[in-house]
Amino acid sequence: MKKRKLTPYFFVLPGLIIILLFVYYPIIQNLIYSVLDWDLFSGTKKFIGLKNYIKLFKNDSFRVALKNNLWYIGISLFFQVGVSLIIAAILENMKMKKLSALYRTTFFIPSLISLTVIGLLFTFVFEPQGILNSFLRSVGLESLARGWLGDEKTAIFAVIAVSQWKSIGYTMVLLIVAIQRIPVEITEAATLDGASKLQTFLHVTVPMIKDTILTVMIITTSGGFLVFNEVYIITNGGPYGSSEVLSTILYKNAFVHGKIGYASSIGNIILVFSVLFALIQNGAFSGIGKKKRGETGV
Amino acid sequence: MKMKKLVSTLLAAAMIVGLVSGCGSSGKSDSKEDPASSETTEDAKDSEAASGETVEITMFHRFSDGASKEFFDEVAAAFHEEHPNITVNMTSADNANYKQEINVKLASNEAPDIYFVWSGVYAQNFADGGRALDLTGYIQEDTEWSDGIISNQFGPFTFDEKIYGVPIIMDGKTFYYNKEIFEELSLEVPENWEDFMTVLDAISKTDYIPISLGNQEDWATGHYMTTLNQRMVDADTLAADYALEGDFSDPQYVAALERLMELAPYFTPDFNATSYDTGINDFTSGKAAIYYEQFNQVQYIQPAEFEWSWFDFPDIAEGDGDQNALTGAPQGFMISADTEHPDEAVEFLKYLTSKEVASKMVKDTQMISCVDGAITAETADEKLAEIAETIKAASSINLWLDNAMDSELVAVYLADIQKMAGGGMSPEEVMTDVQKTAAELAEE
Repeated sequence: MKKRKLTPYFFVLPGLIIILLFVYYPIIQNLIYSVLDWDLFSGTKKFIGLKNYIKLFKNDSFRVALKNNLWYIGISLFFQVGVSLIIAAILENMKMKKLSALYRTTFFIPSLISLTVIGLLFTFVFEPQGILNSFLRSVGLESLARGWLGDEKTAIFAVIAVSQWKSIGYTMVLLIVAIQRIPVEITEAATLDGASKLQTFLHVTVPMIKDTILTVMIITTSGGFLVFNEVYIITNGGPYGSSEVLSTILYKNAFVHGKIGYASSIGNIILVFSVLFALIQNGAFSGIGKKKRGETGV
Repeated sequence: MKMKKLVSTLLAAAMIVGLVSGCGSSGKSDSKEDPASSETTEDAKDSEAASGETVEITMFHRFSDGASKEFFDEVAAAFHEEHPNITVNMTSADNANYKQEINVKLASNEAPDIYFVWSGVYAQNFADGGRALDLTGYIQEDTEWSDGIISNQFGPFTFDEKIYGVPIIMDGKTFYYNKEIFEELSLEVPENWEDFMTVLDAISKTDYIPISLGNQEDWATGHYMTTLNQRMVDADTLAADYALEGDFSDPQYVAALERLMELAPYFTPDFNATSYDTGINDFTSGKAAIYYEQFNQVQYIQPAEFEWSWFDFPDIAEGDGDQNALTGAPQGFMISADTEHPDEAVEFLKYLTSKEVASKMVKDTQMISCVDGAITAETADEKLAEIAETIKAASSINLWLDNAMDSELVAVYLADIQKMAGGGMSPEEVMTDVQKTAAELAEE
């Protein structure tokens, strides 16, 4: 009996070894590095306890970065989960299937373009004499035209906007696939019972694809904590540090200033926040799920 | 049943063994590769008897595309022709990523034998960290070679009176100006700050942008402050403060920032939102009258379809610094302290900075060689030759802020300068910030 139970574990062992070696081992290493004062240039390592973390929490640029990450997550959740869910539902409800396929492809294409290309493209859009300002001027909104990437109030939001443009199509496709998996019988039954399109959406579609919505939320949130490319290419944290995010300050500390220990402590903070947010979302969703089930008596 | 179980267990075991041995064997084959590849070069050249053993050295640089990459590849091949027992393997990273990649390479025991460096504190970090070989002996020994390099270029590679690097290309920052606009408005080239202000004021009354500036990345205004600090602050005070031995309390630092604020109204509107490319394009397309740029970027100015020239940063009578120094750091190569073949590596650098090869470099890449006499009528145009003379005549070389001080301090300094230029901070606030950061860093 015992032997039989052991066999499956042998099969997962190779995968487990790879995960341990390439995921968990670096995480533990990172924890160790974060309590060291390690200078990349000279290679000296010195144990300094929690000083890296204390320095980090006292640092203004860390607070700016954290705030920007939270904006990133908030806005991304609104567009990449909320708006993209609405678009997905509308496209799946369209009478003309060919037109809906065309829309789907159109929305999806931006997520296939390399971020580097998109980043460079949008620096031209956001220039003082760029496309965006020309457009605003031509429709009589001169007062809104500004140097988007040079203004500390708008720089990070310009970057976030690019990210929405790129990613909304991707989450939309994930949600469309989930909607298509809902058995036709259920929606038909709702229609027969006299439910309006909106009611069907709220009471049938959304609860049926709850798991996918949770997945998309977790992907979006962790993406918001890990965001690097967009910021690095479009503003590189500027002007004067106002659009830094956690991963760009990590990168700069590690590879520009050579402070590996300090950078590791930022890495650990990102990890803690990501795990925390994933747990909260997971918990909130299973809570809702239980309540619903209790009410309907399933 | 039993058979099935046995098979599946064996299969799982095989997978694990495969995984582990997979890692191992790839390591083995790596180590096998080395003798194999050097064997083939031996066969090819068949020079074993003449020179004893063959040597492979690696070189890592930042010239990753175009004519400059080709030049380095060709030099490596030509060197191998002359020294059949030495093979130079070239690898490169692009400009933006070079700093990060070399840091990682040097920290991870994959150090290349020869590597590219910017001069100043950037190079000093490697020297102080024990990553660079002291070349003083080699340079003093072979004066025939080292005297061929323009002497003021060794300074930015010299730390504690030891020379750690061989300069390859030199540089300087200057005000390029559109001669046609100056003629149209009958303006004279300004010699001092007051004249400069008059000129800028006159241009600002027309549709031309007086000074083109793309400051989306904060180093552009940082370059202005590099020169302004050098002109305003006493040289010894400046050196001590940049080395974190002073406290940045000299009132001339604030005065220098105020000079930048005097220039700010004449820059491209919204310069903090304007990219570097737009800055240079506004000048070459004739929209702007003046542009502050490096000599090394002259190939991007050359396409301009109007008469252009350049003038030195205007003298500031109130300044305590040397008014004849030139801002601009040379770039060069260092040899890893861990190299197994220091003599061969130096031999290659000597070859690279010989007059013949340096002339080829100027001809192929239009980079401004540090080798005296490499820039001639044959290898370059008149303008480049004039540039070389300007740099050679400078009393000393003033390093960019970002090459001259600690990277963390410079990050704060540059960001604050950018904010101040955009109107978000006062010069006094900038210096308070800098003083605070410098004090914190000095404590560490």
